[in-house]
Amino acid sequence: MTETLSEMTENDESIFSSLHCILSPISKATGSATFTLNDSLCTCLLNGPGELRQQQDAINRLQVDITFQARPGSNNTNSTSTKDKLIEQWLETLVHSTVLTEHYPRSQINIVIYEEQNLSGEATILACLCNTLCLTMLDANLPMKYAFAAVPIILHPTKGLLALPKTKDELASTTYFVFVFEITLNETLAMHASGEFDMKTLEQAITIAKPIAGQIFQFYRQELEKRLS
Amino acid sequence: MNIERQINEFVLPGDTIALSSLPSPLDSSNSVTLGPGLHYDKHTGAFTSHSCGHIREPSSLIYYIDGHRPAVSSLTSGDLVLGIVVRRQLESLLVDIGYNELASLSLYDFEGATKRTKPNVDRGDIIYGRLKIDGECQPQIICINEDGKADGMGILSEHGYVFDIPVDVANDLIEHNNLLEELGNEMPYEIAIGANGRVWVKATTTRTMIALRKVLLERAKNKMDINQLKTLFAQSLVS
Repeated sequence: MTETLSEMTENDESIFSSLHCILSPISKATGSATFTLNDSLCTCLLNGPGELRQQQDAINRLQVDITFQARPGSNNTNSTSTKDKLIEQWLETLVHSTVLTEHYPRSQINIVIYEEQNLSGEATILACLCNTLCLTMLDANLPMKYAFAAVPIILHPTKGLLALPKTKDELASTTYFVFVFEITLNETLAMHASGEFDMKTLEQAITIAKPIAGQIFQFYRQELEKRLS
Repeated sequence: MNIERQINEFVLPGDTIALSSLPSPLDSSNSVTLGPGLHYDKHTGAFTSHSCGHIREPSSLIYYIDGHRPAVSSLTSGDLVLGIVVRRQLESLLVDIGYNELASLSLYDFEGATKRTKPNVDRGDIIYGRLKIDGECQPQIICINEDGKADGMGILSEHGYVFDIPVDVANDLIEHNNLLEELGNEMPYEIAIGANGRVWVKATTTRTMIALRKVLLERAKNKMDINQLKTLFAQSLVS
């Protein structure tokens, strides 16, 4: 545990070097963002709130339509389509829990999210997708209850728990966690975990991830304020 | 973790804002006005933001969040809007006002329109009218006031020129029209500003219209005072 903590403080300065983003890269969309987390790169665009296309049952709130486009030609092409659907569902619940959907009756937003580069494993790409989504919604200035940030954590066989892992470390490990934190109370909004671990490790992972989320929020502030000034 | 943000500071959605020293907004004697992006939570008694931007206080006890606002979503009933006719139906028109759906305009809501004499409107015409939004229905436009008079509203001449300006600048121009009056003293022109950020201008010469557009766009981009804008207007008229 002490080892892990020292790792983390070592990483502290380099956190900002592993994050990078471009706001409004797509000018035609209401909001868009490109976000880089280590070796993963995602682009997301949001259109709307616009007219409700299909006659759905959501007449008193905002209808959210998310499409996730995985990078074509990735290794496991056969199994991706179901995984894509899972990711879409996961992101949709995130949008529903943060956006004030009651403010937009009879309207719909369309979100398209692209995975552009993914050299490391699932943990980084999942966290990257969440952060891109949040930046896109902030860029479009949708009314939200709170901003959120996702942090990937891996359980390395020798080095222990690592936050924002480098590609080499991530490929060497089998257990990972992704935590999504909200800005107000810094509590967990969503999580995803895979592999073998016990409850103690999970709790440790959450305590490691919390301060990192705070730094990601600081990064959001920097980037968004730069655009406004 | 819970740091309270101050006036003129940058906020993200979910940030708590330090307005708590003020009287509660439920206290009717000294009411606080919260503009777009701000929210008062009754349970915690805290002011929170719902969008990102800087907190502004234009006058005392009035607060709003000044952020990047790409879409028209804050239109309310009674706003004057500029729209473009998209489709003509049997008894109504569908008008694009930059809202999430097309607004409908009944052909009887023009001055002097009856069942026999309907106004001659077609696709692409520019409409200036008053917006009516209630609840979860399609927005509606009317081009007459309570007395059945046009009152400046209706179909605008096709010899004018339409362009877009930011919504907050448009609202500011509607509220404080001294810039427009000053410019009018130098050169006569007609103007219609919609709360949806569209502007229609008409003047005798094309050069005047271009100069007007330049001044309004300059007004939107940089906070220049009236005299600077007047010189700019005079310059663009000549060159």
